Amino acid sequence: MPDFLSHNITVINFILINMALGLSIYLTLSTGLLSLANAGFMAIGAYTTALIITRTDIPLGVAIVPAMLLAALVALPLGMLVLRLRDVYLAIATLGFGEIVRIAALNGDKVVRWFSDNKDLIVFNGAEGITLSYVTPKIVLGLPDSTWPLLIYLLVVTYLAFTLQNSRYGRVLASIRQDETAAHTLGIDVVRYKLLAFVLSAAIAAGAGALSAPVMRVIDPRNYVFSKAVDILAYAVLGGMTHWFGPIVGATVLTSLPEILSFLKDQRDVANGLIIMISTIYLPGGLVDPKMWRSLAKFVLGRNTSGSTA
Amino acid sequence: MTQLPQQLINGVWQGAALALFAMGYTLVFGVLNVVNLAHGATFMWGAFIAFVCVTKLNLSLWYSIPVAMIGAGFMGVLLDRLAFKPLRSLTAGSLVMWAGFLVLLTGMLGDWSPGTRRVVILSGSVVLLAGLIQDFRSVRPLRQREVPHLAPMISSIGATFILVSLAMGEFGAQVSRFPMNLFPIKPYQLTSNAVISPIQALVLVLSLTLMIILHLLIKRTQMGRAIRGIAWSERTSRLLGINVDFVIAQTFFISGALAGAAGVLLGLAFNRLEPTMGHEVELAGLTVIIVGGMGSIGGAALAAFLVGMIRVLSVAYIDSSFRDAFVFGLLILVLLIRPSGMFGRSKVSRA
Repeated sequence: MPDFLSHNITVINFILINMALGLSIYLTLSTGLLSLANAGFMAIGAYTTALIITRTDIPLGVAIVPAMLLAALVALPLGMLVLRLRDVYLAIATLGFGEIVRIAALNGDKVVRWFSDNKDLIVFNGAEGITLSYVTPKIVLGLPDSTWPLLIYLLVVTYLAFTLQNSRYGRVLASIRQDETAAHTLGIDVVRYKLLAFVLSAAIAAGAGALSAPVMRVIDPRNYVFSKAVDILAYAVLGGMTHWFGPIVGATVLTSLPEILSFLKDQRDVANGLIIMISTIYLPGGLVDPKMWRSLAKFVLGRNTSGSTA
Repeated sequence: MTQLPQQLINGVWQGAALALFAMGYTLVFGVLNVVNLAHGATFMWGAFIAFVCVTKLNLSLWYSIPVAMIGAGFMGVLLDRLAFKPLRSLTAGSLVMWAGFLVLLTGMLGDWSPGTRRVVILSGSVVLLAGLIQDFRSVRPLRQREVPHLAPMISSIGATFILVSLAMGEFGAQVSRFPMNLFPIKPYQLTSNAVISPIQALVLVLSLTLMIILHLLIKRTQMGRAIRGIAWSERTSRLLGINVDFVIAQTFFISGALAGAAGVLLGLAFNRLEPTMGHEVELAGLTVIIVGGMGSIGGAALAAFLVGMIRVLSVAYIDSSFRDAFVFGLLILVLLIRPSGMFGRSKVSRA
């Protein structure tokens, strides 16, 4: 394994996880839904997987399936309830859901003990969370075996987002974002498509959470607070919400930034905040904004081609 | 059940402080249609400004509270001009302000000798102020556009990062406390089984006073009329000759000052100041403004008492760790039954 990879493998793992999370929120954003529930779904995925692989011999690749299904099952009724809200209201309701998931994880054991005879039963382990035992990563084909599932998962999710953008389904979602009423009058079942996007997004977030369990090793409620939901949103906003490549760039920048800026030590968060502010103010379409790059290209190359385009 | 009167009193004074926080929050939302997620950071800085006044400058508490409010108010104005206004209309002044702000930050955080640091901070502040004045005077922005809901939210999140880590750098991540002898501790006996400490009484009285002042300010003054006008329709207000950007700055000042007051009061009552103290109240405040109806000040005040009561009672009778679950349960319930809140104008969404 090359030096660069082996030194930064943790960061790279987190970049891959965050890319998938960024794509999960991209799916709802591209439907015009400002949902901040993804941290909660990520928690559901991570807890489910962590419980399965610590208690049984089921491998990670299989344990991800119930995690994603469970998140989708939770997302379906939740979506039916909250998706009639819009904008800030939806954001805050989904934020509330995230907090409830966190509190449930924190207090899950108390509830479990009410139903169980064993009064010292430990399942979720409250604030300390579930700790997975350390396994020395094996190197397979030049990468540690903890990185491979993340990479494969990301490729699948990216492929999904990529085909979505150019498919009928993607066009329907975009039309809902641009004008819900118009989409409705064109005969699009707005409620069903919104729900579909929400549930799919939840499953993707849960999958990312599931695969993050062996990387994080300690699954505790603090990892899934308000700020995680906001981080996920920031990936998509910084990267740009009009193209599937946006969240990927955004996640890469925001995850590697603290490492790149590590020479700033304690002032990392200030730099982080500055970059978030400056990019929202001066790059309103995000880093990956096809319109901006096109006009920039025109501006730089325009001297030669202006005659033909004018 | 013998402790019920005591719990009700706790609910009332905590609700009152929460109301101060939430009224400023909802005021900005009503005027700008923007959720200012940095409101919690302003709250925290209000508490720390009073802390510095008391411990470093040896001011009495009676001067420290107004100083903290004014400081937090100006922080609110700067927040608007740096984080929100450039999104609405970007002027040459905003660019100058940003340049000054960056110089100021490098002055505060860089590895300088004390003399250089002073010069850098001073020049940064001067540029920042010059930009601010220019920004207020400018009539022709470089860019003006409709802002989507997301951008200001994200921008204020960035501001929160900066404000919280500046406080971390200045005061450390540990808990700071006001000196113990600042306030008498002996509680007043209200009834046979309910007491209220002087500090809690102060919180209650001061919060209620500020609420009344805010009410008069909004309902009875020319400025309040302008604020209400902009909340109703910005375009119409502009046509009628109201200096919209200036009124928005005033709104942010009021909002910041209220957050600062809430910060000092809750900081005093729990005697627990830490840079992350804004996060928790932020979430409670969001619930309050939704339950009360976004933009409705009276609704926010009432909802704050309701939420304060729910928090206190769920800690007393159920379990402290479930406290926020009940608050958010209420939030989701209200959103589902009546998305516009208890007193909100019903313009929110069609099912």
